[in-house]
This record gives sequence, structure tokens and C-alpha cells, in this order.
Amino acid sequence: MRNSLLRDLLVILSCLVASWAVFIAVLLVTNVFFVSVILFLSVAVIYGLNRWEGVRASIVQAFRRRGRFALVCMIVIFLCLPFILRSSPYWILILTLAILWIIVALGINIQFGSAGIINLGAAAFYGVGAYTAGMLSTKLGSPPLLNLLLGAVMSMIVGSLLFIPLLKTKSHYLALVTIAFVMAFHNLLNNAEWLGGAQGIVGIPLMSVAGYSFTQEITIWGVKLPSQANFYYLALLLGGLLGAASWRLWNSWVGLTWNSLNEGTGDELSARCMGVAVGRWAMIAFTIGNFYAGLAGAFYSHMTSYIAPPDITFYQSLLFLSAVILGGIDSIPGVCLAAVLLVILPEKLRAFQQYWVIFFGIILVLMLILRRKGLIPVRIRNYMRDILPLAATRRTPEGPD
Amino acid sequence: MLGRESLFQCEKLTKSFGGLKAVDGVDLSVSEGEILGLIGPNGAGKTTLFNLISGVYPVDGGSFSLGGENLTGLLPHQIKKKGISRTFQQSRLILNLSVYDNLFMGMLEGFHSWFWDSLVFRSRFKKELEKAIEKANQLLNRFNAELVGKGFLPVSEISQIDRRRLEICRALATRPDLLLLDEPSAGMSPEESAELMDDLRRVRENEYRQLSIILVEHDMAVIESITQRVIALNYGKKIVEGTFEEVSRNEELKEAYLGR
Repeated sequence: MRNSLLRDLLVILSCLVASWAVFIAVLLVTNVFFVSVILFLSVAVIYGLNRWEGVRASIVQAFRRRGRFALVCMIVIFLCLPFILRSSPYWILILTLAILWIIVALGINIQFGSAGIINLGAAAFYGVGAYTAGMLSTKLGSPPLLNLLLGAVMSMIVGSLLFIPLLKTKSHYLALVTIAFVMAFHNLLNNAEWLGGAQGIVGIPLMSVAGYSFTQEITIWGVKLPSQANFYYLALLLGGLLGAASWRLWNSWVGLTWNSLNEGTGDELSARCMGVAVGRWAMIAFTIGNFYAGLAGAFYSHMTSYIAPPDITFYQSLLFLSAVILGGIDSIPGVCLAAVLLVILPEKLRAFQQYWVIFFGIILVLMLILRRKGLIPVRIRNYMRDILPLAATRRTPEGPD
Repeated sequence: MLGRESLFQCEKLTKSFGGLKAVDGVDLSVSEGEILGLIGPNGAGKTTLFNLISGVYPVDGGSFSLGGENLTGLLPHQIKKKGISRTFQQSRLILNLSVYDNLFMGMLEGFHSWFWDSLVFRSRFKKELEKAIEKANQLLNRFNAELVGKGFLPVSEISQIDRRRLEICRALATRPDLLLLDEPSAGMSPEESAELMDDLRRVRENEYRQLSIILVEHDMAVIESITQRVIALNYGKKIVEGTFEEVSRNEELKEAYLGR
């Protein structure tokens, strides 16, 4: 018994350390050739381990049995990342941006992944949050932390403008309405002088909490961390809270209700016949998703001190939605992973910047052909029950891969 | 049959699609605890009638009531609250979700743990979950004890007949007074249909003894063995009503199925 515990912990530690070491290496190594080699080798190793039944089984078992330990390890690693990357404040900033994208992607996952609401105007809600924070702080001197909340709330309010199309139109037509919405919003931003027009809003005060400005370097246990670490830790806190909320909602009657009205995988008609107030729950999913996007947008404003119309486009919305599709529809771990990749890969491949869109398109098509379920496919909902009296062997729904 | 209170009544129900009268002035009544068969050739209006009664289509003429209460014009989720549940001709189970999840869909209305309990006081949610699993197991056990062990498997991994059973369980989970079954034996082999007949008999055990059922079927063996009374439709109109023996002797019905 003790042997098994020790072995499980070692397996988990080695997997986590190995994968994060690869991650850090990919970030810090600048030579594109070496990065490609590292990526290729890690993909090969993962593929090989996946095929080797014995090793794969023991890894999966270890993570399943000692899930809490793995979670604690992950949290420790997240907390330590700024220490490891303290010589590259740029990457700490990118990781913070990745967390913001995770927050937006989680929101879109609630809308599209769980409830089947195609929102191709996600960037608009991100933009509402960003512009709200920008306007309130530059015109009214509103404190940044409060602006996060106000930006999110404003997003929810603007989202309610789309309630009528949401309730009255079928999914594909709603998608068109949201595309029109984000394009109209982009145009509004470009032309409205009171919103800064094409120049946007400049000089947005950087994040500060109760007087403590985020522009200071911080010193923890004698180690000096760049000021970007401030943003990182706050984003990590917010991301962690929102991610936990997402996870708990998914593992509850709320998540099940959303799945039931998802036209793609669920069935709206039988949901109605079983008493589900389909319209109300669609509005709830839509609103919560917009809250997530708005909060992330507001944070972005206070991080980069500048927000302008080019940040809010239909293309941006597509990226957010593709994080959900690539990661695994309705799969929270998948969506988080995909969001991180979608932020880091373009940064890493800056040398090929003009080819990024082509590259991205190819990846999208390949994923849809080879692995339609996504990077981390969604698993059967077991409501986080610690003890499963009836162990099912395979917990990922079958179907075309 | 005589003397039992009428639970459900339709009067002159009519539904037109453009110029076509899919349901034409149909009168129907079901007593408490009665199983009524509804037969007729394809296109006779049986499923349309179900859609009217379950609120999926708005009624063009006539009315229907349950327990004396007029339900005409109500939406599907309101009709469910009043006590009418149904299954569908094509399976409308969610294949990617687990067996339990599909069952829980029928129980959602009775749940009390929503946002606050899901996010913060999870122990309250867990208690409700355990009770729900227990109730689900009771329902599943009634039809197929093996299903109880498969609760957390995706529906795509259970057999067709188990899926049919699951759909009936899901409708039962809503605790209806009237259950509408739309061609439950569609696509089944004779052996599977025989199993289904046993299942339908088992539906009305224990707490569901007084459950009324309207059963649409093409398989006459099922109709003959399960139902107490039969109504036949053709071109949206009721053409004959009575016991299975009486109805099967009716000339007009034979002509409708077999031609002149």
C-alpha cells in the first residue's frame, strides 16, 4: 500500500516536472530549430507513452488516485513560474496574457461548449470590458480593481442586447447576428470620438490594489521579481477562481441543464418536454460567458495601459472560439491548454509572423480531421464524486476521434 | 373501465398545416390507470396528436384537459409540470452523456441545489446527487438490473433496447400522470419487441400503478397484449374505438391499412 502511494507520487512528480521543463525550455530557447526539435521529441514521447499500455495505465491511475496531490503540485508550479522566468519579464507578461485568454475561453466554453450558443462576437464583449475600464479610469479616476468588476458587469448588460436574437433564432442565424455585432462594435469604436476613435484610449492607469501600484518590482524570500509578476499573480488568482467556478458549475445540475439545450450534442425539444426552461438557461449561459470575457478585457486594459479598435475584431473572436474547438468542446482542461497554445505559439513563431494565419488554418483543419474531439476530449460527468462504487473502464464517450 | 374517472380528455382537436388537416376534430379520453392504444397507418396523425398534447405544436381548434384542467395553449415545459410526459419516435437521448445524466434530465425540476450549492456549499449538492442516483437506480433496476452498473457509461455504449428502456425511464422520472409512448418498438426485432412488452407491463409497478398511458404502435402484437382500449385514426380522423378485437374487425380500418 505504501509502495503504491510512493510510486504514484513519484510518477505524478516526474510527469509534471518533465512537462513543465519542456514548457519552460520552449519558452526560453530562442533558436527556432532547437525549439522545433524539443517540440517534436516531446510529441513523439507523448505519443509513444500513449501507445505503451503499461506505462500509460500507471500514469493515468496515479493521476486519478492522487488527483489532489497533482492539483497541489500544479498550483505550486504556477506560483513558482515567475521565479523561474524572472530574467524574462516578457514571458511573464505573455503568460499573464495567456491566463486572460483562458478566462475568455472558459466563458466561450460555457456559451458554446456547454450550451451550444455560437458566439462569434466574443471579442466585442472583451472589448466592452476593456473600454469600460479604460473610460472609467481615465475620465472618472475609478480604481482599477473596481473596474474589473464594472467591466464585467457592463459586458453582461451589453450582452443582454442580444437576448432577442438569442431566444428567437436558431444557432447558425445567431452566429451571423454575433458576427454582425462584433463588426458593428468595431466600427463604432473606430468612429466614436468620445471613445477615443481610431486612436483608442491611452494612458490607462496600470493596475493597482489599494495604493500598491503594480509597476513596482516585488521581492519574495530575497528574490527580486520583475513588476510583470504582479500582474501574473493577480491574473492567476482571478483565473483560478473563475476556473474553479467553471469546473464546479460543469459538475452540477447547471452544467447538465446547459448540455441538455445544446442543439449540437443535446436535444432542445426533449429538454423542453422535460420541463427545462430553455430560453432562461440560454440567457444565463450567454451572460456568464460575457462576464468572463468582460473581466478579462478590463484586466487587459489595466495591464497594457492602452486599448484601441484593432484589438477588437472578428478575427479575434474566431481565435477565442477556436480555443474551445481545438481544446475540446465542453472540456475545461482542453480549453485551457488550447488558449495557452494560441497565445504562446504566435509569440514563439514571430519570425514567421506573416505565415501564422496559414499555419493556424492548417492546424485547425488537421485537428478537425485527425482529432475532432479536441486536445483533451471532454469526459463523462461524474460530479466529482470521490468514490465511484461502479467503476466504468472508459470514461470518454466513444465516437469519431 | 366503467365507473373509473376520466383523467385526460381531448375535444375536437384540430391541427392544419396549410391546407392539410393533420388532425381533424379528434375526441379522445383516457381514464386513470388505463392503457389506450393509438393506431393507424403512417400519416394518420398519431404523432401530430402527441405533439399537440405535449405542447410542441399549438392547437388550431378544440381543446384538451388533464384532471379537469384545460391545458390548451400551454408550452411543453408547462405541460410537463401539469403531468404529461412523452417519448419520441426517434431516440432523443443524448449519446455523449452518461446514462445517469440522461435520467437526471427528467429530474431537474425537482432539484434544489443550483448555483449557490454547486459553487460553494457542495455538500448539499452531493446529498441531492446521492438521492438522485438512488432514484435513478430504482428506475433502471425495474427494467434491467445490468443498467444499474452502467450508470456512468455514455449512452452510445449501451444496446438499442436498453436505450429504449432508458427513454421510458427518463419519462417516468418526471413523475407523470399521463405517459405518451410514441412507437417504442420501432426498429426492433420480434424478440426485442417481446422484451419490450414485458417492460411496458413492468412500467406500472409500485408507485406507477395508476399511471395512464397512450401507446402509439404499429406492432399489433404489442397493442393486443398491453392495451385495454384502442383508438384508430386515419387521415386525422378517428374511425373506430373499442377493444382490440372490436377494432381489428372494423372494415374501414382494414381498408386503411391494406387498401381495397
